[in-house]
Amino acid sequence: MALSRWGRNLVGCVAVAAGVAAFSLGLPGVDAAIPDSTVPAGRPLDFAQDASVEPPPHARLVADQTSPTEGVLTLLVDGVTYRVSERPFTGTLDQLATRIADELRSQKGLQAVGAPHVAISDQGVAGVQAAFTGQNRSGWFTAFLRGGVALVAVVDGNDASLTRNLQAIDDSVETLRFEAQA
Amino acid sequence: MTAVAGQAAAGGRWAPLRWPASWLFVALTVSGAVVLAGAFGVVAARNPLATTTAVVLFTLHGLVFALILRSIDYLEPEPVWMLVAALIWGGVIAAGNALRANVALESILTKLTSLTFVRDWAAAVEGPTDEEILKTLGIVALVLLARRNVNSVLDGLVYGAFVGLGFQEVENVIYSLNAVVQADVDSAGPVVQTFVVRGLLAGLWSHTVYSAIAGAGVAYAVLRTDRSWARRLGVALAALLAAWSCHFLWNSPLLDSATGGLPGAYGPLFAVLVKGALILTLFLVLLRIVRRGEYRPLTAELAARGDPGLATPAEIAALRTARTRRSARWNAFVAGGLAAIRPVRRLQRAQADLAVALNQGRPSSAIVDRVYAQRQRLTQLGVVEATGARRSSIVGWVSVAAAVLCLFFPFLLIVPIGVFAWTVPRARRRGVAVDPKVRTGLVLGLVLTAVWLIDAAARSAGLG
Repeated sequence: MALSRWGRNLVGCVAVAAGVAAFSLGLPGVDAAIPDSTVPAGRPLDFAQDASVEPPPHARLVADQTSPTEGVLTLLVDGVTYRVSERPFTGTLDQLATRIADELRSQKGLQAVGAPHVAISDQGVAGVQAAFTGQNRSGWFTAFLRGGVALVAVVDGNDASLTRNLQAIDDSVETLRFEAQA
Repeated sequence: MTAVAGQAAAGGRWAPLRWPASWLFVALTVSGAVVLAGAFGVVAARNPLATTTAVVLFTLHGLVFALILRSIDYLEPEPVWMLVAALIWGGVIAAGNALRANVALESILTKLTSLTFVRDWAAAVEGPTDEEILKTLGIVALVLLARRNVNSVLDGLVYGAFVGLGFQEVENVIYSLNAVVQADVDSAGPVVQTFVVRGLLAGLWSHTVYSAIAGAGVAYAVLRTDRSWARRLGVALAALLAAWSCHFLWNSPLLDSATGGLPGAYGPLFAVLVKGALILTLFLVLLRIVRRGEYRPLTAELAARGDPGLATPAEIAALRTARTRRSARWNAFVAGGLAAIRPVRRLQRAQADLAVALNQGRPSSAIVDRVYAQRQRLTQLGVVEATGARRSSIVGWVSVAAAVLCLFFPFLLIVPIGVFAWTVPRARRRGVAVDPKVRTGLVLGLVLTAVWLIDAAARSAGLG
């Protein structure tokens, strides 16, 4: 039996709605169904146009919080979130530390940020490092600055996991590397 | 899909709320707006100056595009409400849903490929795949909304262009807000930078062009019921593939390495221009073919009348492009003065309406009367024919060349002014035409001299 014009319009609408839903709901569903992959330790990962880092052992890549086009890499190590990012920054190291501290304070549960101290990357670039403490999570951030580009690592997790993985992640943070000459 | 669409809302009295397409459109618009507000509402509220600047700048940018696009289908202009619906689909529905889809697709690519691949190619894969299909679904939705307003392949091209334009301008505002967040300051600076890069350097060969190509394909599939299903679907898919390819080319790092040897910003700029030229050329070729396909059948009945009181062959030819229509108004100005410009504009509009009415077999005496009224007015002013014939001359070229140089030597404005003052009254007395480049030179000279004056004033005020 032939459909009425109204019926055909409805069928067309269902097709269009299905098409939109395939992108808006279907793709995120497919993404959720694919497990995050582990990344090999000790091998540099180019997480941004001009930056790389060597992941710690047993790190899983959190794909939906990773975007090399935006210069962001998020890893999960035994429940500890380890996020590195590249961003333009034209101020000083102290200003960079203040800004990151402000960003952390604005997040729920992260309240106290300690005084920053000097950090040096394996590449020999000077940076700053500071610890922060929240209600049930704590961590630290490290930032290196060269030629108007900042590499920032933020690590946070519960105390037990942090303690277990602190050294391995800190070693990884020090491998943050500017790949292009500024 | 398109056959259903093609018959759905055709014919009969149009009652928008009766059709499921109207409700679908409203529902998707609301959900798209919620997604966009959720993603950018806080940033926009925290940065009111930058947000306002971005919205104003890109609205004006979009307005210029809209005016140009609206003139493409002069013979049978699309209803404004359909164009607004197209803008909404692109700017709200497609943009809102593409946000979620792009994040998911990049995440999938990150899981299935390498970070290096994602860094270099994700934008080239995500954008075309998600955005082109979402925008093309909008063109199909427009067909479902009002099939009777899709009468030619050119209509589909224009609707597609407006869907793309809506997407493009909203995306530009989003990029501006991202730049503001990165700069961490509520100022117009990052917005202006985004405007220069995305609005001026990339604006000409962006989403508007991609979706116009896809729109032409959808319209072909809907309208060419004389062709086989397979062919119609094939053409629509080929057009979508062409749109995808243009978008892919633009987003891909292709050519970047080839131009890496050029110093400074010249390499990227060269790559941008080469890619843009390729995309724009494809679009212009398609536009030419599609326009020819609409112009001939639409004007055939008018030409067959053979009534020079309604339209002479030269006047019918003048209806074809914005350039020839402008030339007709210029020729009338030369012959009959300023007072002749408006009657020619009205005559052209009436002739176009008559051509469409004749083509649809519904000529009305009211339209014919409009044509005769403007004809009479022009005859009184001494304009016998609104022809768009162009005459080229050396003085026209001299005028344009001097006008360009006004940007550096503003005193040269005297050349286009002098050429205009010398040629126009002389031609009017003799009853001959004047090269339209004389007008172009005068307008260009005035604009570039104004630019020079503004620049000089800004420098003297210490702003330079």
